Amino acid sequence: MDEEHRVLESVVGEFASKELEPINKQIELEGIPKELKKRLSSQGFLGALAPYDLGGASLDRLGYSILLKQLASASPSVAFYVFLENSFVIKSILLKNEVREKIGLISGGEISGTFYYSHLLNFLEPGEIKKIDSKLTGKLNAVINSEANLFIVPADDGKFYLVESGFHPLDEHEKLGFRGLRFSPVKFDTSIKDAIEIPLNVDELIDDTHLPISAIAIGIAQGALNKAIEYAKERSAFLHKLKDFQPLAFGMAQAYSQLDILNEYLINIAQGERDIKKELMLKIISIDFARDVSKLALQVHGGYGYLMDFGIEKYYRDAMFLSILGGNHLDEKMKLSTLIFQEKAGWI
Amino acid sequence: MDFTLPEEIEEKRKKVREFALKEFTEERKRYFDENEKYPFEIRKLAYELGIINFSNPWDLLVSIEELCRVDPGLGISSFVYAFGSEILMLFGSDEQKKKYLEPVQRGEKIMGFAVTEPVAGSDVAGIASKMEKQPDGSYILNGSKMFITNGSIADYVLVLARTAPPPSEEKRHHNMSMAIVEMKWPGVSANKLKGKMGVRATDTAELVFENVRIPPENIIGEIGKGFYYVMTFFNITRIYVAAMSIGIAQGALDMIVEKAKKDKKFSSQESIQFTIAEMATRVDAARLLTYRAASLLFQFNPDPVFTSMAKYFAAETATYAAETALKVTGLDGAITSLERLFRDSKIMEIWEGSSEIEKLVIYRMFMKKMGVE
Ligand SMILES: Cc1cc2nc3c(=O)[nH]c(=O)nc-3n(C[C@H](O)[C@H](O)[C@H](O)COP(=O)(O)OP(=O)(O)OC[C@H]3O[C@@H](n4cnc5c(N)ncnc54)[C@H](O)[C@@H]3O)c2cc1C
Repeated sequence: MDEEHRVLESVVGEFASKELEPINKQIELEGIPKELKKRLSSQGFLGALAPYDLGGASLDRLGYSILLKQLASASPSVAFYVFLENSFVIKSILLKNEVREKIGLISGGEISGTFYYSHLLNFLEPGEIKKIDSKLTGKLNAVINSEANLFIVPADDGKFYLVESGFHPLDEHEKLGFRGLRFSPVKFDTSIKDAIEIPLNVDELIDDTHLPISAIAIGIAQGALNKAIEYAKERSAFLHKLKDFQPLAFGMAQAYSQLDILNEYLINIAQGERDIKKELMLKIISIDFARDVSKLALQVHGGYGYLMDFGIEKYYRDAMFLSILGGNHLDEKMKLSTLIFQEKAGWI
Repeated sequence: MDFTLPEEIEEKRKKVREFALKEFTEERKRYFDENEKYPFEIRKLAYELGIINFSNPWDLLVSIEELCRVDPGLGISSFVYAFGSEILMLFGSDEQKKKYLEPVQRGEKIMGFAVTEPVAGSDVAGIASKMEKQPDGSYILNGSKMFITNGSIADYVLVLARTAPPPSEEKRHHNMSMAIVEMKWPGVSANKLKGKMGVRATDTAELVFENVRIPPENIIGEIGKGFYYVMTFFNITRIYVAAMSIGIAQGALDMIVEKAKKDKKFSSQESIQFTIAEMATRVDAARLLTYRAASLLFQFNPDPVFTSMAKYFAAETATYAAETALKVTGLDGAITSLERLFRDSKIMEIWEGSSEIEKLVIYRMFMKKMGVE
């Protein structure tokens, strides 16, 4: 990794420990505070993928991965928020010249957006928006960041629209993870003249998320494992530190090794030529890894791990939620199988 | 070898399932979980309708399974008000049984069992609370307890404390004793712990004892035998934790089966079929392990190897099943009670002996069976 990226890693790492760690509980209970959004913006994180001329940081793939990983290691909710704003909202808006100025507002933290893709995640009743006469009307379920000011949503004509008025979020769903973001159905009744069609290629957009989602997963694993290692050095049972017991030490050492390898792989493919197969491989493995490691980290903390105050259980919930929001695992395994066999595979 | 339960127990299983499906509505599950409130009314109802029957252990075991299958938070709250009662049944005096045990069994009072401390959980012998004998025969208790179920709603708790220093490092488990402590006594305070990941309808608290005077008649059994009583208790309750875990795993399996019934595209895929097959196998294996351990216990011949195997395996099956079900049902599962089952499941691997502690017990007792001391 070059100097520039190393600096970025340490700057974001410091931001995460100074600005996120102390208010983690608040983020989980009350959502991401406005002031924090401002701070994320002033650091250039909210406009990570936006071009310079629109007030963005124009990070490359490695820089963006580092950013998400470091944020996720302290607050997976904040990392997911930054990811949603960048990988979905900003990237979609960039496709439509007339609305490019909205990017400044998003990267400036003045407004937030969301992109609806739950219907792609093997979801039975996603709800639907119908385009009837001069209106877009209907309800969408399971909208993440549903308190957004700006929505990019699919309608029944197969197109995606950007809307900024004529919607309201309904009561929240049960919230497995990423509790810093609102998660609820949203009702739409928007005049078509206020809706702007976005010329999206959804498959491409989703393919571009493999790497950032891997980065969040690796960040979750890193955050959880670091806490477990620290705890195992402090906590005693049976007159010994937890780290002294083989099953615990070996489990954490193994996880540390796997994490290091995944991290290297992430850096490698983020710097190299685009390779969808490798990105998909990394995502599928790192999502499962994040879940297993955060579960191990919780277990190492014993009863304390089960309490929110210790800031450990959220990693396990968030990792589980990421394995749902990160993609439809069946579709993706089929896709990976086909890439590996170089012909249709894994479809029965 | 007969793998069937008596007809009346299977009938009871059906009755409990109906009760849970009717009373544990989506609104109630969500309300008690979100607000971290103990469901007093549900506990009362479960008692009045005869859902909880402490006099027949098989009846209790299948009831726990069925309640937790629908909602572990509300389910556990429906019977955990008697937590610790086995200690009084086995080691309490007649007076203690009359004064403290019977009102709990009648559903009038709530009790708790307080062993864990901030400094020691798995390592029971590492606790620091002390009970010091006074010239008048009473004891003075000082110390604090952590994560005590029912802590802030109990009328009394059974407390483990040191009554003398350990004779040596190897014998740290000696000189510990148990006493019944009334929560209204001077010097006793409880601080409800909020923000648990799951089983949020159950009450959990930190307890502090400051110069609490305990009359001699509240000492349970013999002085110095406390550690032994606690281990005997765990040998019983671990089977009930295994039953909770089977309930959770079965509940998660139910969710996938439900989705498979409705969505033919989903169920036509072989990887989903294998997932269901694996999960059904593991749930059944956990159930068989648990029933064998239970059968021995209920015939007064408990086997700690089988008990710990059941608890360890069933708890891991619960988290495996909840994770797997969520993974394959995706958002469909994440916005239903499956996400709660997932959050609830993790405690099974921690309380009443973490998976690691169960493995230590299995090893030691298994090797003993193999003739190795
Ligand atoms: C919701 C809830 C309710 C509870 N209710 C009660 C209650 O009613 N009464 C009560 O007394 N307690 C209760 N507990 C406490 C529970 O039993 C303890 O949390 C549990 O025993 C673990 O202890 P600990 O949390 O101190 O973890 P520790 O003992 O500190 O253990 C931390 C980790 O180290 C591992 N470990 C410890 N020793 C070893 C070893 N030798 N080898 C390998 N690994 C090891 C453990 O398995 C665990 O993973 C409750 C806890 C919770 C969270």
